[in-house]
Formats: sequence, C-alpha cells, structure tokens
Amino acid sequence: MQVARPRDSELRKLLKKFVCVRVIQGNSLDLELFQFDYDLTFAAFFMNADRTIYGRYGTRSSRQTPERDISMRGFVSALEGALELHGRFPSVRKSLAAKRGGKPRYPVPEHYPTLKRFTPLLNYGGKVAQSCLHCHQINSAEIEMLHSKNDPLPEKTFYPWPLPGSIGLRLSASEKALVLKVDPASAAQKAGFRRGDEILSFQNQPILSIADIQWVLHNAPSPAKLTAVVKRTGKNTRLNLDLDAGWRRNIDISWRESSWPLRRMGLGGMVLEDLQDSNRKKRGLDGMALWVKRVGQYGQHRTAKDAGFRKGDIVVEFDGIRERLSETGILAHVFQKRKPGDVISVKILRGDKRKLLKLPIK
Amino acid sequence: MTRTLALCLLFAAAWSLPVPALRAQEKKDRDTLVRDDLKEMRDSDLWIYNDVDKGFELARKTSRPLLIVFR
Repeated sequence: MQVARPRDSELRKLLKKFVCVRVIQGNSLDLELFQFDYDLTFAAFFMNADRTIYGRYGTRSSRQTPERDISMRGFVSALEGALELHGRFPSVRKSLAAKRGGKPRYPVPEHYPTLKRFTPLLNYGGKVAQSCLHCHQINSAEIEMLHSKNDPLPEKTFYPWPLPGSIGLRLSASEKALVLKVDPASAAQKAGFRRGDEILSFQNQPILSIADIQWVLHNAPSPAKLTAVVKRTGKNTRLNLDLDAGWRRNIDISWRESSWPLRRMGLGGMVLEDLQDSNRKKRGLDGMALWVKRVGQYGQHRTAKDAGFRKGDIVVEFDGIRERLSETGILAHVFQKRKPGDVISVKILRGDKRKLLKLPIK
Repeated sequence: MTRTLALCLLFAAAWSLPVPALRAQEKKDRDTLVRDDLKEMRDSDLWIYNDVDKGFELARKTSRPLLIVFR
C-alpha cells in the first residue's frame, strides 16, 4: 500500500504536507461529515482543520477491477489541487460549502437497526475482524430499513454516486477531471462538453477528482439543471447541463457490494445477467432474457431455490414485464413498485420448456 | 519505483478493511492481519492510525490540510 507506506520519495514529500489519517473501520463513522460512496475499496477526503471539505477521491465501476477508475497519478493531482485550495483558504470557503452533505438519518452506522450488533470500538482483544463494520454495510442498512417499512427506495438511494458516464462523460483516471470522450447524443454532448476539456468547477464547486463530479451528480435531483466551468484551449467556458427525469436510470448497480441485500430481498437470492446478443439470436429471444447465473443455496438467500428456480434458467417475463431489462432494471422495479410479502409471477425458459414460477418478495 | 507500480501495490495490497482484495488472505487469519497492521502503523511517522479527532487537532496546530483515507 504505497499511500500508507510510500517508497516513492516524491509522494512521501507530498504526503508530508498533509496530516495523514487512515481509518480502517466503519464503526462510529461520523455520517454527517464523511459522506462518500460506501461501496468503494479506497476512498479519501482532503480537508481543512475546520472540517471544510476540499475534495474527495475514489471511484469504482466494477467488481472485478476496482482499481481501474483510479490511479496514483490522478491521486497525486488531487493532492496537489487540495494543497492549492488550502493555500487560498479561507477565501475559497464559500465555494466549498456544498461539498458537505445534509444531516443523515443516523449520526453513526451502528444506530441502524441491522447494525446494532456493532460497537463503536474494534475488539482487538477478541475477534477483531468480525467486530469491524464494513463501509458497504451502511448502504445495505439504509436499503433494508426503507424496504422493511414498505417505503419505495428513492432514486438517490437505489442509484447512488452516478459515474460521469451516466451523463455521457468519459474522464481520465490520471487527471483531476479531464474529458477523454463525450458520448454521442448524451446530456454532456448537448451541453457542449468536448474532448480535452478540463472541468474546473461543477455547480460552482472546485473539482479535484472524478469523485467530486460524482458528489455533485449524487446530490442532483431528477430532472436537474447543472452548470460547469471547463478550461478549453486556455480559456474558461461555462456550460449548462440539462438532465431529464430518468437520467439516473441507466446506471448499473450490479457491481456494488450493497446490491447483495437487494438480490436477497427482491430476487430471492438469484444473480441475473442479460443474455448476450449471440445467445439471444440463437434462441430467438428479443425481449427480456435474463440468465440465472446463480441461485443462493442457504438461509435467507435460498428463497428463489425454494420457489423452483435453477441455475441456467432464463427469465423471459417478470411481474408482467417482457421488454429487455438488466438485473438493475428488474431490481429497480421491485424496490419501487413492490413491497415485502408480495408474490411475483416469473416466466422462465428451462431448456425448450416454459414454466411459471412464483417468487415471494422478502 | 514508478507510480504505475506503486498504484498496483496500493490497490492490490491487503488491508484491514474487509474488501474483495483481502478475501484471499482471509483464510490465513484476518484477526492476525488486523493486529499486525495496527502494530506496524502505530509507529508510522506519517500516518495517524484510526483516530480522526487526533488528525483534526494536529491539523489545527500545524495549519496543514488533512488527508483522511478510508481503506
């Protein structure tokens, strides 16, 4: 871990300009101050001693390769940006105010009903690893609490921390916020973003990293009107970004650790994967075709197994829906339209035979 | 050491928070890993281990900014 044990003298010199703190537990985490994507494996805050946040660092879009969206070069750029803001403090304080979030539901994670077994301190004298509250459990606890009250999950909870790709921006992991590509016909293209733009501010907040872009998007309503200032060929250009009501809905949440309780409650413990085009063609399927990749076998994860689902089945209709949807789309339907105790009709294809199964929502 | 290599080490190394990268080592003994990590980091001249309040206090005294890493 080169940030904690830096052998690179330049990095060490840079880190020495900071007071460096490493937090290894979610127990007693100040949820009002430290609001970040809790499904990350590495996250950082750059702050002033008065608790003003200069910026965040840490982005993830995949389960298998959690490091593909971050880089040491990008991290160093963010550190340098934080030092620059610190040098201008307190004149920049006002522009940084919105980097802090609102009051959370609970001050610390262990106040959530499903996390009450955790104590504020780790049990170093006993089973210390087991006493550690994982950050991703905070998301899960929020989801479980809302679902148990029969409340639909707000889009912000279900689709948290949107990546820049959700608005059509592909940013470099090696810089603070450099545009590598703008997706055709996307909100970003309509706003006038171009390849090579350096995003200096977003909603008037100085930007140090992709995580800072995500923070603004995470807190944006649906629909939303946002403004950005980009540096383009040496000049600053202001861009207006319009996001429609469903802008969050193309976000994939399947990589998130916190999607496991969603699968347990909403899919009976199944993992579903959209069938690839070649397979669809071979089988003559053009609408919904979700391959049952995994069926939970034990405890609360075996509801689908008990309902008769098997690995290899293909879901072709779910609760009356036949159009093509991803696993995330199915989960969104369940958690926004259904409640615990409901039983959903699911049509599957097993070999050449079609079957109707009943899936209870937990 | 190049920064690319440093990055690989940064994100591949097992730390005490339960992350996917850690799982392969969990079988060895996660409790020992956590305790060893504490022993090693407690003597660091660079890092304050798991004490945010101490970090804020030092930042106030030294007028330095804070870097708080969750890992």
